[in-house]
Amino acid sequence: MKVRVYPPAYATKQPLDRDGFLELPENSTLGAVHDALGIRFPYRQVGLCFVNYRFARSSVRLTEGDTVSYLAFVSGG
Amino acid sequence: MSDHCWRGKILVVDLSGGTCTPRSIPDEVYEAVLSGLGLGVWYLNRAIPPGADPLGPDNVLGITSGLLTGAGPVMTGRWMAVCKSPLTGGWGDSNCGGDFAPAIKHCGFDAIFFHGISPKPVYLLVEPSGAKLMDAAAYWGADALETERRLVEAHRKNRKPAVAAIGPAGEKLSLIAGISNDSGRFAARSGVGAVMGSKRLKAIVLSGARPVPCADPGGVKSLNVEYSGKVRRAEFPRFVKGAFLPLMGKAMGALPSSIPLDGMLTTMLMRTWGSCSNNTLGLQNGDVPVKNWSGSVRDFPPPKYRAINPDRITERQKYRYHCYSCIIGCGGICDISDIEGREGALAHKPEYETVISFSALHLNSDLDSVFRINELLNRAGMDTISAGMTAAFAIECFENGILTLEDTGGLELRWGDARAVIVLLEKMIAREGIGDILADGVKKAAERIGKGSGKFAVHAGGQELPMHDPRIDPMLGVVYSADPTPGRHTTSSGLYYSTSALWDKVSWLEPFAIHPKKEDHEPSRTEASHNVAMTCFKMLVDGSGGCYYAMMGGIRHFRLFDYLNCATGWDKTADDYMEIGKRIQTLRQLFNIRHGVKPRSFRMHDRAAGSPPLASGHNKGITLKIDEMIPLYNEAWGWDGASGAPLAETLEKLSIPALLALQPAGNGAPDA
Repeated sequence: MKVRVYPPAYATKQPLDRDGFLELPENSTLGAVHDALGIRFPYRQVGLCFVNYRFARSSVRLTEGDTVSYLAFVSGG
Repeated sequence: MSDHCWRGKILVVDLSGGTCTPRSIPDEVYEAVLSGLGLGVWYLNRAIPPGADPLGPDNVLGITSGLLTGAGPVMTGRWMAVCKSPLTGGWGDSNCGGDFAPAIKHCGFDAIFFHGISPKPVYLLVEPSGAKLMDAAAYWGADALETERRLVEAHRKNRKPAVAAIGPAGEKLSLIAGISNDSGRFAARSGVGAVMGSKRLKAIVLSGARPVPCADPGGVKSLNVEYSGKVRRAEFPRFVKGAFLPLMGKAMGALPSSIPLDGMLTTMLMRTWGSCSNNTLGLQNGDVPVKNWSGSVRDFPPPKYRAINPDRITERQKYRYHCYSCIIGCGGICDISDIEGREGALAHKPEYETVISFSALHLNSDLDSVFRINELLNRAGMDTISAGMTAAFAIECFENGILTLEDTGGLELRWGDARAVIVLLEKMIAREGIGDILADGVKKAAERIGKGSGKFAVHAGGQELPMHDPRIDPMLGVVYSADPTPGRHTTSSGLYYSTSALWDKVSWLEPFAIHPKKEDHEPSRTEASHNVAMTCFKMLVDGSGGCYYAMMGGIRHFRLFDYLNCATGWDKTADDYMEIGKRIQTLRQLFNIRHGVKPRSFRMHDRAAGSPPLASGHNKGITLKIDEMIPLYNEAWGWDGASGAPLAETLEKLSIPALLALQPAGNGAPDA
């Protein structure tokens, strides 16, 4: 299955295709995305991650087409 | 009645003659430039003669609604004020939310254009029975919020009318005056309030109920369901507090790469804190200008900046505020009943721009004073960014002996002294003493004061810079310096491009390549083309009545191209729409060329470009290569690289001569 990933700047991006999708085995969890992107201690513990714009723990199971976003502050005025 | 989402009608008001005349607009105009900003720039290019005095009878003030406004798409409740700007001498526009945009279309028009100057103060009243000018003597002198309240009361029948008004600042032709609606939403920039004041037009009252049609309501509904579902879910976990933001700002600012970002995270910030989410975060990542652009977070450290923790601001929020058709609700209505000197008990939450303009920029850590100033300026109808920048300029002049106690009427202007700033602002609003010198913004003030004060007057082409430092985002610096409305942070930036996902749909853009941030500081054709793409998209947003915060979500969420096709019945591609964006932007630039503006004269103040570089903070040592970037930007538009003038072949390719030959015509009475 494929999920769209907005990686944090400190992650390894090579596993992503040019459109930002990551291929994963069926029934993978969010932890598998962390693993694929090389996100380890301490970022794995303190970083904020969202699945379909809901805050999610590593154990959350993913489905085809999900969007995984790591917190990157963007603002305006 | 047609089923597309534009009216095909405008109302032309001749203030000198006292007449209101509906006119028809050919459909080709909408296909070429949409409505909103596009319709405005088409009309004003034809209607304002070169050399017109911005405060004279030949200037035309346009109030336009977006192409999508009222037709069903969410996040499309913005209206535009357009005119020749008295601040820059060139193209002026200003964008605003509230409840006014749909009211224009509910009256049967896409836009209202005001020509001439009224011999006495008037306001425009548009009702189902027609449009007429009314005597405004009883309202002249009243503040903008009070004017709105009284006019709503006077003209409320079956429905509440929408009212846009100027305050005393606009009446007194302060060049930094804006236009207010919905009790404090502002079209603040470009000096549009001064133009309205010069026409002796106090207010516009709209009371219509004509529904706005839509070519494919089902299509619009399904887009809305998808987008609003995402927005509804987009919330931070409760343990994320405002105190967390500076740390994250520091961490994110230190990271080395530029990456594509999920714009929906912007929505989370807006839903939680509104634009103030950037207050302390931006101080740590270098986005916030400090001490009139000469300092850094070292000058406004945590003990001071904790006062503007966004949690402190939302503590006062009684309820969330949404503009028309908004699903985010970045605004808030705050209880200010305990604030010294306030006039009302409730007021709009100050925006990020206002908070920074009167805190970090002045080294002021008194948050209550910011609430007081926000209300003072909203009532006066004066732009908070320009007023804050002008006060910072005055403080720096005083601190350096250029202004003296004699000049200020005994007012001691020091960094961090908010009480003195409030007195100064009151003088500016009333145009008394030093206030009269400062009431037209920093460029005019520096010309009047002389003595080398220009080195403290931070502006671009006469427009005071907003509260975003281009030293962390060089594309922003190019826009500040080379856009037809200079000193504008909402048009384009590297950050906006990284959230836009335009590369998904636009054939001439490559997928976003993750790259070292330092590459963004090198002049390149790639960077220039990204800037052009983002600006084209913003032109479409402003032609549609779209919200800037929806734009920042990007097209994977706010699917503007699809919304436009559904609401209009067109079948255009993303590339077709981007060409429309290019046409609108080139028309804005053409306006400036026709009026003798030399675009290179808009280059922003050296201080904002990092010359001299800062000695501390995130932007320490950075100097932008802005003079090398601007020619590349101009060339990417098809304009002359050196002068910025659109090339003849570009005008032809965009069919601009033929477009400008089209005329408003026929009977423009609104459809029943």
